[in-house]
Amino acid sequence: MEYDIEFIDVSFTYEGAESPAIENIDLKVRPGEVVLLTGPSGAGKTTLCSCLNGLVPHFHTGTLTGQVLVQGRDTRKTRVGVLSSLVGLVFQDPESQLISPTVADEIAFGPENLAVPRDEIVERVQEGLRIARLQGFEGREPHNLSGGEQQACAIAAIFAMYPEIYVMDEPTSNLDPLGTQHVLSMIVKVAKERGKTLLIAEHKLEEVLPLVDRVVIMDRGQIVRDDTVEGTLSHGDIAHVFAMPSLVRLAERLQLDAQPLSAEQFYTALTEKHRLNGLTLSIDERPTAEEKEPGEPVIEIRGLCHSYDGADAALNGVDLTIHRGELVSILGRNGSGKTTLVKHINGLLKPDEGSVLVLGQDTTQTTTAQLARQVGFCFQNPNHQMITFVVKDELALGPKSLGLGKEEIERRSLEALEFVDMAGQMDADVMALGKGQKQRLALASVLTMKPQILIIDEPTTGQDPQMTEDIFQIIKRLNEEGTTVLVITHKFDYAAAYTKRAVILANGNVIYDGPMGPVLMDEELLRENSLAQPQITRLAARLVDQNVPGDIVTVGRMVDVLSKLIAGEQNGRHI
Amino acid sequence: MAVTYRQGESFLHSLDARTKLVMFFALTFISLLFLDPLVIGSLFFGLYALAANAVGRKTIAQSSKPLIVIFTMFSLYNLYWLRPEGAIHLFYVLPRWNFFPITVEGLVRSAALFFRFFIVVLAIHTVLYTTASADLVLGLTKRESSRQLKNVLVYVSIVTALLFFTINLSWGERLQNVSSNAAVALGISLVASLALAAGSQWLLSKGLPPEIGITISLGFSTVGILTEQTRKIMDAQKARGYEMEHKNALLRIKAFASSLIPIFFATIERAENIAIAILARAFDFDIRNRTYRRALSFQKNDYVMLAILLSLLFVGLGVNYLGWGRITEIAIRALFFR
Repeated sequence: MEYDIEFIDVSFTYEGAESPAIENIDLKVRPGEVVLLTGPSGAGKTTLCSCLNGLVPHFHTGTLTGQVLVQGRDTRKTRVGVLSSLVGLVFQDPESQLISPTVADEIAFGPENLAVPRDEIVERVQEGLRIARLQGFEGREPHNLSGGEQQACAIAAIFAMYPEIYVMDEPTSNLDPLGTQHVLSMIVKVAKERGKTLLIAEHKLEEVLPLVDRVVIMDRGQIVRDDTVEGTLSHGDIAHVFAMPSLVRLAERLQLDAQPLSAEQFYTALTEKHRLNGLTLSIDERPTAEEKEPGEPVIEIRGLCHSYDGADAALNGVDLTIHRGELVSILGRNGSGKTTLVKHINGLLKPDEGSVLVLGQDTTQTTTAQLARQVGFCFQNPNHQMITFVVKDELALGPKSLGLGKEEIERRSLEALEFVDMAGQMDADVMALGKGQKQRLALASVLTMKPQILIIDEPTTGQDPQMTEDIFQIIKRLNEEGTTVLVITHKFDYAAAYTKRAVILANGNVIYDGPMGPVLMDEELLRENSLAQPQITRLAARLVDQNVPGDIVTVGRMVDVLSKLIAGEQNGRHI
Repeated sequence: MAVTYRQGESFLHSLDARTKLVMFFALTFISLLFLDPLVIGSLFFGLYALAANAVGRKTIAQSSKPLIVIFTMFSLYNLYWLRPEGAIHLFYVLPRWNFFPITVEGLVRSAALFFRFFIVVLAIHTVLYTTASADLVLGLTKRESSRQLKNVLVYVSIVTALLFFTINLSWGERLQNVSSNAAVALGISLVASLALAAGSQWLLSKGLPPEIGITISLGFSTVGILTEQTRKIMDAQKARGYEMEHKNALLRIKAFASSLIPIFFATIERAENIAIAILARAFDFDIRNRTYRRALSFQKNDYVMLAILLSLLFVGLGVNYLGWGRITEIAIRALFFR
């Protein structure tokens, strides 16, 4: 068979939708190919993936035109069960796809449905556990695992089915950076070892591009680019759809004749074009960080201990002071205690030992509802916050609980909606909003209460790079207007670019609390906490002999620094 | 706290899921046979001892405490209605109006009712605490091993022997009425025992269709997830300024009602996700012939337990038949109201 996957002029419109989710798709994938499917949220990637195992049109009903062939089978005429035996599909939210009482049962579920003999199921479970590094977790309940472990379990469950085609729909959206690297390399390794076709829908280009053969970019339901990795990168950015990895953009800005995907590749390309030996950046050329006097303490945590089950400590004697006007990143691997810590700040959790003072108020002496007047809290899943059906009602809820008048509520609602770039959507249907817009609405509905402190828990999970950038821009503006902000995030590159102070938790302890710069440069600290050094920072580290500051994280700043270096070379400033 | 599986290595944990299901049905049946606090109470405390050994008294107390109040109220309510003819009158609750008479029989039977409800609840809690939901479902589901000839023969032989001895010990005299020839009577009881054993084996081997079994399993797995989801939603509401911890119950209910919309949508979303998840893993590939990683097999403890249960069941039938089923009432009458 020449192709494993064939889309022939395929369009699909969900029942009740006005426009098609995918339109005129023509795509052919050969056996054994590893293909990246990328593009902004809402581009149609999930719909395309769901066509492959027949969920579209058998489960998600609507109008399907054209033909989807999987190993020659027309998906319209084949049952989902049969297609699922050929196509192993992993979704972006691991929690929603885990259904069994134990990890071993979860991995066995697919082979059991395929009527695999019991002895072989037992072998496949063991193999799945080994590949996913979940040995020892056999008897654990899947919904009690960390996000990374859950995703590994979901992937192992698909591996155990031995499908012919692997389809991964944003398999790393809930993972920390090192978890992302592990999961991606595991998926590609297994697919290649078994000689199977692999289609990965992902936003994380830096991590995934080195692993794939081909890139398909989608926008508004259509394929807008389909090429090899080199071909894709040589065609450059597509505004609001595809942004090249930071090192490729940097190379382009410096007119290097290369498409580097790693700091080492960039360094090689740079030194091939420019002689950097003996060339250094003088101290006065190094940009200096602005120092701001900290305000008075607004959060004071002393000796905080907390345990969910009375046995294992989720927090183990945390001491932390946050000052007014700070913008702080709370970092750490999945399960390190980040969410447990911030839930103490708005009183959702009370200390087992120690104390938490928020604006001088002891959280044990007040309710969460009272603290909510000063402490805004945005949850990871915006759906958990939405109570009403219309945007304006959702925005009015908080101010109403404060007892504000109608005019003031309207004024605050308009202001908040404008702040999150959703002006004009006051009468929009909440349920019809996309995930990115729901996240912004959740933020706006907290802003209407004008909190002095804002806590945001993983605001960018499953969002594309443009949406992530937008959310961090909003956070930055809020902070500039005086709100103290604590943000929990796995997007370390964004955290490093936007926040000055980092608090890193590990096993319920604060193991680092200080400026972001030293964290960026401490590879061991990052690795131990499942954080990956941004590629630009890695390059900075590679250029340490040239006196390049090691805490550079943005392309713009690196361009400035390298331009100065190169100018030095051209001016003959060899030292 | 949700009544869900707790890992352990107790006697109850070691039993096959099917044995525990038989235990539940047998205890329920016995509790319906008797309305005597001494008999049902003894069974109740026997089961409690086993359950406490398996999961600890604290765990049982957590799930049972709220029920004590409910069952006590129900038993007290029944005091009014449980007044058989010829009952021994003790006093009136409101003597001035001769209202609500309290009788010995009423007290005894209300106490028995309390234990009757409790033993059924404790039995099902014990099954759920000590059996992984997947095993429980496997116990209820039709599968290959249940049709193996060796298993069938072992089961039928043991149960036939048990029934044969129980019938002859309990209803020996009555058997003589059926036939004066001792050999014929023994033959009849043997055939009856064999028929009963084979019938029960057939019933046990039928099981549920796999799709129903998996649905039940998904239900068990989802309880914990939905509980956690509800907690997250309520936390989100509190964090938005909703006072969910009112002392006033009505205000608390009103505040909870605000969470119903997100809980409702989250539940619908969860149901849809489950459907997608099982379809994406070939649930409808060939459901009738699906296989199972877990395997159930009867061990020594299972046979011991089944023997005890069957003995209890048939001894109970015999005792009840002989009119000794209300031993507490008989004893009280004999000792205090002769």
